[in-house]
This record gives sequence, C-alpha cells and structure tokens, in this order.
Amino acid sequence: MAQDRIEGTTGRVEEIASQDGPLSPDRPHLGAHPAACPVIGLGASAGGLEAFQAFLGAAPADAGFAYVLVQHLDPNHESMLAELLSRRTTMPVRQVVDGAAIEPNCVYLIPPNASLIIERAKLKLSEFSEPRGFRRPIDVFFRSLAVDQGSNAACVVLSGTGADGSEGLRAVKEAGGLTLVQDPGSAKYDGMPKSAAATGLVDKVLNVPDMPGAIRDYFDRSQASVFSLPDVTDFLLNVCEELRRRLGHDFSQYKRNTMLRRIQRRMQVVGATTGADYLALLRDNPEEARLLFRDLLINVTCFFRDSDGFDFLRREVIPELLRGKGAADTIRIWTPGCSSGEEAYSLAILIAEALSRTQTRPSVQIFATDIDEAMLQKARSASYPRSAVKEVPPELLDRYFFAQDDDFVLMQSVRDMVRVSNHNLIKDPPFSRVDLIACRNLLIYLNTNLQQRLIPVFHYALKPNGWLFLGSAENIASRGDLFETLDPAAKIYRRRGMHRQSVAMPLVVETWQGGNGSNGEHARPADRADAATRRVMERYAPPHVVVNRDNEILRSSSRTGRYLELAEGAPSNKVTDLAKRGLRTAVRAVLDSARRASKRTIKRDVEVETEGDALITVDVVADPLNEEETLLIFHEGAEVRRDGEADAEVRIDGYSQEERVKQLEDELDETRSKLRTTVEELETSNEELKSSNEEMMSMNEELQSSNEELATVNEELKNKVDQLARANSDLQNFIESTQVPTIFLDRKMRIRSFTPATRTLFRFQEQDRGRPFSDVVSRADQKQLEDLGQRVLESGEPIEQELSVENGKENYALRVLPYRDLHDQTDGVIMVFTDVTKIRQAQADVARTEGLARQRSQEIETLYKTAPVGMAMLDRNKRFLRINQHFSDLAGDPIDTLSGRSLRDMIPMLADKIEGAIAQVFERGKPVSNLEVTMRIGDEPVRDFLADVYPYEEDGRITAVGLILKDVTEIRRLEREMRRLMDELQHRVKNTLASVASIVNQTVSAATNKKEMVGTLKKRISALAATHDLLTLDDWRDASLNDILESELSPYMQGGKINISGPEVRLPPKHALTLTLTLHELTTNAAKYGALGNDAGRLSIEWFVSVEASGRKLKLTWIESGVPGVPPANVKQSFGTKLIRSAVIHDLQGECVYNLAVGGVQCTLTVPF
Amino acid sequence: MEELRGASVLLLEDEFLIALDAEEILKGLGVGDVCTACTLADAERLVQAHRFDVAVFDVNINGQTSLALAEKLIEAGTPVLFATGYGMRGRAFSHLGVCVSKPYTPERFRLGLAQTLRREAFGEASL
Repeated sequence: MAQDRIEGTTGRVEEIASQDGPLSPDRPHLGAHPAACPVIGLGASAGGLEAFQAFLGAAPADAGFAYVLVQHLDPNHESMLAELLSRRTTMPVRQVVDGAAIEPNCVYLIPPNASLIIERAKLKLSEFSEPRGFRRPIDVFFRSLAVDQGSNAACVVLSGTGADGSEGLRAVKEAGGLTLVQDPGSAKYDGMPKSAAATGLVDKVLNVPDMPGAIRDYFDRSQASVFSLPDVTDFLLNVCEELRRRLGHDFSQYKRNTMLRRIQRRMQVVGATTGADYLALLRDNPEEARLLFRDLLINVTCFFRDSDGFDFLRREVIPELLRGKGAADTIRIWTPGCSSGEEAYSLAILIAEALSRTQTRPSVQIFATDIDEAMLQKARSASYPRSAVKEVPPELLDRYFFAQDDDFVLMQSVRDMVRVSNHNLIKDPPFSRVDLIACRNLLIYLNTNLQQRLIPVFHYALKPNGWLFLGSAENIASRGDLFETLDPAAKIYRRRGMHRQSVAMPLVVETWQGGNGSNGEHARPADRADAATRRVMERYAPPHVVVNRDNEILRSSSRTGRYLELAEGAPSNKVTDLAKRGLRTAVRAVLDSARRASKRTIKRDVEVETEGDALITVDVVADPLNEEETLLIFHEGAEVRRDGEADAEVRIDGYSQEERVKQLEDELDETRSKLRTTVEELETSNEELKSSNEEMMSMNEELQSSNEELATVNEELKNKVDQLARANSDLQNFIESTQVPTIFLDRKMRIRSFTPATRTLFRFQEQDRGRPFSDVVSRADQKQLEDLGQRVLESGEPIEQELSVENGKENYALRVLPYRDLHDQTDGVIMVFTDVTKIRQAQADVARTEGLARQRSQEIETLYKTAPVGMAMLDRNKRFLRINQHFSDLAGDPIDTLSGRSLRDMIPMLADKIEGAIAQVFERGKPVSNLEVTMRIGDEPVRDFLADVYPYEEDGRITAVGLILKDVTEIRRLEREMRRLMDELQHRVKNTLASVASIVNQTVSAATNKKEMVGTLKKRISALAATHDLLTLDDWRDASLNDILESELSPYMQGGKINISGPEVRLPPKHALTLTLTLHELTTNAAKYGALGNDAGRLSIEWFVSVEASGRKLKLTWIESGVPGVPPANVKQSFGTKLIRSAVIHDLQGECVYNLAVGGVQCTLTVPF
Repeated sequence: MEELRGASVLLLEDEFLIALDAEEILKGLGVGDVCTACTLADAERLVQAHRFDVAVFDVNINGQTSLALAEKLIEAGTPVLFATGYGMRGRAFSHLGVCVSKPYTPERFRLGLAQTLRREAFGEASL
C-alpha cells in the first residue's frame, strides 16, 4: 500500500502541560518565576566529569548565564567535582546549598545524596524520595527548570548511561526552553545522549565545546521577536503552506500566537534572524519542516490527567456503557489526538477494572489515533516513565503495570484493548458507531472555526447516546443541539438525537486556498476556481471521490459520509474498503469495468443502508479521468443521463449472475491461496519464534550469572575506588603539607602537579597545570632544569645535582627522578629541590671551626708535651689515663709504664698526699690548688712539689681529674738562700750603723771645735764608704789593697812623696774595712803631723804575703820619714791612735807595732787572712 | 741603776768600733769591769777564768753564732743580754734572754740589762 494520506489541510496539536496542570498554549512561556538570567541545566552521569570540564572550558565567564550541573554522585562520597571543575573556569563553582539564589556567571553543583530543584529562581535541596537506583535527579531538576523558568532555560544532556534527563528534556522543550544533547559519538557513555536524542525533541546535537556558543547565540536571538514582524500574517501563512506542501498537514487553523511562539523558538535555534531567512530555510531544507512539525506537536500528557473527569467516567459512564453487554457485543471507543497513548490506556484500565467485577466479557476496541508517528510508536510500546504514571492509583499501578528497567510497562490484557493507528481527525473520514470519544486538550490548539466544525464530526461518529469526553479547557462550541452536558466540570457530554448528519470531509478543504496565491507551482487549478464554482462543487455537485489505480482516495468532495465510513480493523484509504456495506461490490465493479473499457460506467439503483436503518438508492458512476485517476460519483435521487456517443456508456445492469459468481470464486481462490501461504509463513515464524525463545531463555540464564559476577566485580571496584580516594586524599594532603619543593612533569615536560613550596623558586599558579614547564617564570636556570628532565626521561635513571640560584645566594640539592606509572614505565619526571643554603653555610662554618680547633688542640698538645710541669689525668679509681713527658720524667717511669696503673702503685708518696684532694674534686667539682708535696722518688734526693687537682667534665659529669705537678725544689732552695742573705745584709747594715755611731761618739768626745769635728767625721765616714764602694764593685767578696790605698792616699800622691809597693792582694770585707779605718787614721795623722804634712816628708808603704802553717799572713809596713820634731804626746791618747793600735788586733786577730820614731811614724801591721 | 753598779760584764763583740762604743755605754751606766772578747774563743777563755755578773753577746761573731756559749753561760747562772743586728722576732734565741737591737744607745742598754738582771723577760721583750 502506498500512500496512507490524502493531501489535505489539517493539524493537531495538544496542549503544553506541566505537572501543575494544563497551561493554556496562549499563556506566555517565560516560566513561573524567571531568574535574572537564563538558567542552563546540565545533566551527566558516567563520563560526566570530562564533559563538564569540556563545557566549562569553552564557556565564557561573562556570558551572563547561570549553569546548574546535575551529576549522578555517589551518596557516600564527598564530591571533589567542584575542585576539579574550578580549575577549568574563572567562574565561581559552588556546591549548592539549600535556598541559593541564582546569579549570573556562576556554576552550581549538585551535592551528593540530595535532590535538586529550582523554585522561584532559588535552588532547593531535599532528600531523595526514591531508593537508590530509582533516582533520576536530572529529570527532577529539568522538570522543575521547565516549570520555573520556561523559555528562560536551556538543558543539556551529556555523557552517561541510562535514560535520566530524557523526560526532563521533554518538559524543558515543552515549556519553550532550549534542548541540547552531546553528540553520542563523542560522549564517553552514549546511553543518556542517545535516549535524549530518541525523544525527537532535541534542538541540537553538538560536540560539547560547541555548546556554550550555541546557547549564547540562542539567547541573543531571543531579543528579535517574530511577533513584531510587519507582515506577520503573510509570514505565518507561508510557513503553513510550506508545512502543508512538505508534510501534508495544515496548521493554518492552529492558534496564531502558539504558532508564532513555536516558530520563533525554532528560528532562535537555527539562527534565522528574519522571517524571510526562516522561510528560505524551510523551503530548502526538508528536515527543518519536520523539526518544526515536531515542535508544533509537542505535548505532554499522563495517565488519569484531571482525575475529576476520570472519576465521573468510572462512576457514571462506564457502568452504563457495559450494562447489558455480552460476549458477542463490542464496545468501541475512540481517542483522536492520542499522542503517546496515555489517555487511551487510562480508559482501558478503567474498563478492565469494571469488567473484572462483572461476568460478561464484551470485546473492547479503543482506537488511539494521531498524526505524529513518533508518538504513536511510543503508544505502541506501552512503556512509560515514572513521571507519566504518578497519577495512577497505587493499586492500579500494581495490577496493570510491570516495571522494566526504569519504566512502567502495561500488562498485555490492557494493551490488547487498544489499537493504535495513524489517522488525521480533520482530513480523514471519522470512525463510526463509537460508544465513547475522548478527545482531550486538542481543541484548544485550534481556532474557533475549526473547533465548531469538529463537534459535528464527533456527533457523526458516535452512536446515539454516545459520550464525549473533552479537556478541562474545552467545550462543545455552543452546539447544545448536538450534545447535552452531563457534567460541566468533568467536561463529559452526551450525544443528542438518533440521526446522524452527514459531514463533509475533509473539513477544511477551502481554508488553505487563497492565502498563497503567489505560490503558483504548488497550487492546483481547483484552488483557483472561482467562488461560484466552488460553491457548486460543495453544495450542488453529487458526492464524489478521485481514486488511483489502487483504488486509494486521492481527493474527495464534501458529503461523502453517507457512502463512506471507516471499517473495522486497520484503517484503510481504499474506497473499496471505505464504501459502506452493500456499496462495495458495486464500487469495485464499476471501477473495474470503467478501467477495462476506459469509459464511464454506471451501476444503477444500488441499495445503501443509512442511519436509522433506512435504505436509499444510489447510482454509482466510475469515470476515468486519465490513465491513473478515476472519478467515482455517488448519484442519488436523479438518473444519470447519457451524455452522448463520446461517453460510450457501458451499463452494467447486464452483469450476469454467472459472471458475478465466477468473479467471486476467483477472488475466493486467490484469497484461499493467500491464506494458505500466510498460514504456512505463520507456522514457520512460530517455529522460529519457539527456537528463539529457547535461546533467549538460555541467554537469560547466562546473563543472570554474568550479572551476579558483575555485581561482585562492582563491589570490589567500589572498594578499590574507596581506597583510591583515600590514597588520593592522603597524597593530596602530603603534597599540600610538604615543605619540599617538588614538581611533577609529564612526558612532554608539561606541568602535572607541584607542591606549594615550589613557589619559592617558580612563579606557579593553579592554572599552570598542563602548561609547558618552559612557560613558567623561574629564578632557577630553566634551560638547565629542562635538559636534566630530558636526560632523565631518556635514560630512566635519576640524577642528583647541586643547583645554584642567584649566583650562589641560595643552594639547592636537586634530584630529578623518573615518574613511574603503574607499569613501571617512565611517564614523566619528578624534580625535588632541597634547600641546602644553610647546610652549605654551616659546612663552611664547621670547616673553619674545625681548623681553629685543630690548631688549638695542637697548641694544647704542644703545651702538654713541652710545658715544664707534670700533667696527668686520672679516673675515679685514680688510674692514669694520660701522662705528659714531664710527669713521666718526674715520676721516673716511662709513659707506657704509667698508663693504666694506679697512682698508689706507681707513686705511693704522692698518693698519700693528694688522694684526699682528688676525692674532694670528684665530689665537689671545684679545683684544689697549690698542695705542698715533699717526697722522694726512687733514689733521688727529696724534692719539693706543688700539686693542682682540677675536675675534667664530660657532658656535665666529672669523669676524670687532671693533675698538675710542679717541681719547686730549686725555688724553695733559692727562697732559703734569699732569707739567709737578707739576714746577713741586715747584720751588716746594723753593724755598719753601729760602727758609724761609734765613730761619731768617739769623734764627738775628742773634738775641740765643731768645724774640725765635722771635717774629721766626714773624712772617717768617707773612708769607710770608699771601701764599701770597692767591696760592692766585687759583689762584697773582696777588695784590692792597692785600690784601698789609692783611694785613701790619692789627695797626696803628687810630688812623689809616697812610695807604695807590694803584690796584688785581695782582702775579705772585714779585713778591707778594718784596714781602711786603720790606714785612714794613719793617713790622717801623717797629714796632720807627719810625713804628708810637710814638704820634706816621705811615706813608704810596703807589704808582702807569707804562707805559714796557720794560714796566709799579710805584713804591711808604714814608714814615714823626713818628719821634723817629735810628735806630740797627746797623739798617743787620741781615738785615731787607739784605733790604729787596737782595731787590727781586735777585729782581725792580727798584730800591730806602732812607733813614733825620729823622722816619723813606723807602723807594722800583720794580719792573717 | 743599783744592780749594775760595780757588776762585772762580759762583752762579746767582734767589731772593734762597736765594742769600744759598748764599753763606754756600759761604763757610763756604772758597771764595774767590762771584759771585751772579740772571738768566741776569747769569750770561752774568759768565762772559764772569771765569773761575770752579766754578759752582753753579739749573736753573729765572725759568721758564727754565740748561742751555744750563751746557753752554757745562762745554765751556769749568768744572764745574757743579746745585742744584735737581727730582729728578735722568730729567732732561735728569743727564749734565752732579752735582746737589744743595734746600733746601741745607753737607754736601750740600761733597760735591757735591767730586765736581764731581774730575769723578768723571756721572749718578746724587744727594745
């Protein structure tokens, strides 16, 4: 069968509806509470991260949109999505908190384990009402988006498995929003995009990076309104004409504003800015016509919508409908504009419920018809999302649906009642003898004119007393003459009258004419017939149709309803099927005959049954127009006259009974043979189906076990993911917290990651991840680092190197390591920088200090070795730990012998003296100094020592004592000598003073006048002093006799008066002093009275030394000569003379012979020495 | 000074000038005979030949000490006045008798002798 549809003018669109009830299609669709900016909902599941990243990466930050991201998130995991996404956009990415207001240029993210909706332009969170696995958060959000924002919204379905988002997308679309879907080929998981695309409601299928631009274009174009076009009426008519031409559906009776709004939306999607642009596109692109058609037909419906109406049906209508019906009876119900079938199935459920309470089983036929084949497919599948069944009472849901995947599927028993077929209410002949028509939410899309024409069609199709069920906003268009109102709220009406009026089909044959005069090539000649001709055609011409060779109706006139009606079963367009019973044979016969003869053929007086079971008589005329088309006319009441020779009329009254029987037998044979073939084919198919079923069963089992395995694997994977998340978090924390600058690069030297501490060396920013390392501003030698990285990448071996920054101001130990992936392949490099600046400085300091310490240590060591004191170190047991050479010398034993031995064993005398001090030092920690130790070591003489004991501390604890031993023997000896000398000195000084005192006393007693006394005293003391000088010259050991004499006699030496002769004799001090005094007195006397007192006097001094048994003796003779006179007698009594005579004897135990002889004094002094 | 009047004195002094001075001081104090010894040998000889009422000893006699003789003399009942250049403090002979410091003055001698004769002072009676 070729064409199902006669070209005609019709259209059908259902209402746009929401969860909250029907919306008038005339209402503005901006949404209930439009936000300040367009709201873009994005939904994704598996593979969503990548898609979100791609989307945000391409989305400009200042487009002025709010993006709401809905993802299937694991309810038990904190989502890291916000963090991951915020790296891709400069827009703030926020996890939604309850009540957040929508702001432009923000990204909102659904939190885990929460259901998200938008309400009054605010984001609301709630708990999921469904258990896990049944949740469809994307649908939930999209639906709320549609209601709240209407055309101010867009929705985007991205990668994911399953079908979440598809239902929501439908809602957004219906509310006038933009719908985009990721190209399934580019999606990581194509389940969701494919499912969304399958709704047929997607505006654009795009690659993700193209989406933000498409969204912006779309909303930019919303500024230019098609409503303000000057020639809006022409534009609309042109669009309708294109649709009619392309698709055979006429939308000219469609409500104007609804049309314009949907065309405007379509224009925004395709980017057409003017009406002419769009018309051109529509003309050139067949696909656009189809898409616009789909948009115009958008609808949403659900089971038991408007429960009042269905309640009324259940209570009042259905019981009456079933009353008295038996198994032989058929109940016929028609739902024109059934869309995806929810209304039809709702009625089926109500009837099934009613039947379950009765014994009778009448057959039930519910005709569900529509022009949208896509919707009809859905209706046939009888599978619905949860949203569609939410009005179904739970007990009915349990009884008549079963769950399959996420959907609810109707039971076979209910499905069997419903026949789904493509039928155009406006242009196709109506069903007849129908008990109930449910035509809901269709009329509202149509203008009043068309509504008024449709009500009689319903009247025609219904049996007497049949019911009509309309949508809540619809009515019977003032045709109270045809219908009575049973319940105004439930919108249920009942057919009036027993007769049916014929209805001209199609209803709108003239309406698309005229408006399109310019479009000549598409207009047929009939279109241009003048009004009179048309009126004749309509009112006065007999009813007729034009059929093709297959008897399919190409055109039909008005008022054919008397002769044609829809038969049972699949609807057909063939006039032979549509002709009423009794008329069919005649129709077939005249057509066959006319074609065979190529002449007009007439069958007269055919009896046809009409309503009310009246019989009328009609002539059937078949008149071939050309090779293809034949005109079939039903002529009632007047005989068709012969028109003359040219008509070559063939009368078929002569059809013989035999011919007729033969024709029927032929048909029967043909039918039988067809039936046999069909039965065989059916049996074959049946066998095939059985074996397929077998296979299916076994596959099912395999699938079940696979499923269990998969569940196990899934469990394991979940564990792994948990571990991984934890490890990842640990790692993240570690990287954040480590103070060690570390950079991770990939194989191409792009930055994979870095620790915050790297910022001391590199000017990293978060966005640098993924950028080439060479782009980064650095204080280090970037080229060097890259070369190192390259070397490690090539060799796979780590490199360590010192890195100097800013001329050595900072030093780093750089380690470049290969980054190993799970397969131990080098997949990049890791650079670790350890700041060694301080270490290097410290090393330098240490080296310097070490040198200094070594030097000091050497100094101390040298001192230890060479110091002229004995040093040793002793432990608590007074054993030698260390001894210096000098100590060893003092102790008289070699160092090796002493080491490790105890003090008491080695030097017992020392031990006696200082053990107490050592113990005290250990106890108190204070040194003890200057211990006097006198001891004999070995056979040596006794020696004096001074000992010091001091503590030696290690870690605050006294571990040893040091011992210092100084040999002070010599010092002590010198001290003693010094004391002796001091005594001697004192004795001498005192004696000298006593002598002087004596001289003074003697001189004073003998003095005659003061002047002489002072002179004498001076001279005597001077003489003594001179000899002191001489003695001092020779350290007070001795003095030369010559010197003494010279000193005494020097004033008199001139003139050769004195002769001195004798050997060099050195006299001890006492001798020198006593002789000085004696010689001084002799000289004084000689000068006063003797040889030195006159010119003639001579003095001869001679001496010699003799050695005798008792010792040496000095014999000195003093002989004066030439002294006149005799010396005065008193001279003998003077102190001087007394001294001369006695001093030598007394002091020196010598002898003195003193004579006052003639010529002068003669004195001989003999002194032992 | 009554106890000195006419007393026989042994003077041991190796310096002629000092001995001369001491004799004159002693005579000025009214003593009787003054025998002057200038060596230890002289002094021993004199001690054996005579009995003296009191002795005045220089401690250091030609480098030798007169203490041994002084002890013998004291034991024999003749008190000794030491006349010396040394100070008395800490000296070995301080327990033997009174000490006068050189150079001599009549007053020092008078006090020293008086103490010595009255056997009042031991030790510290330094003049």
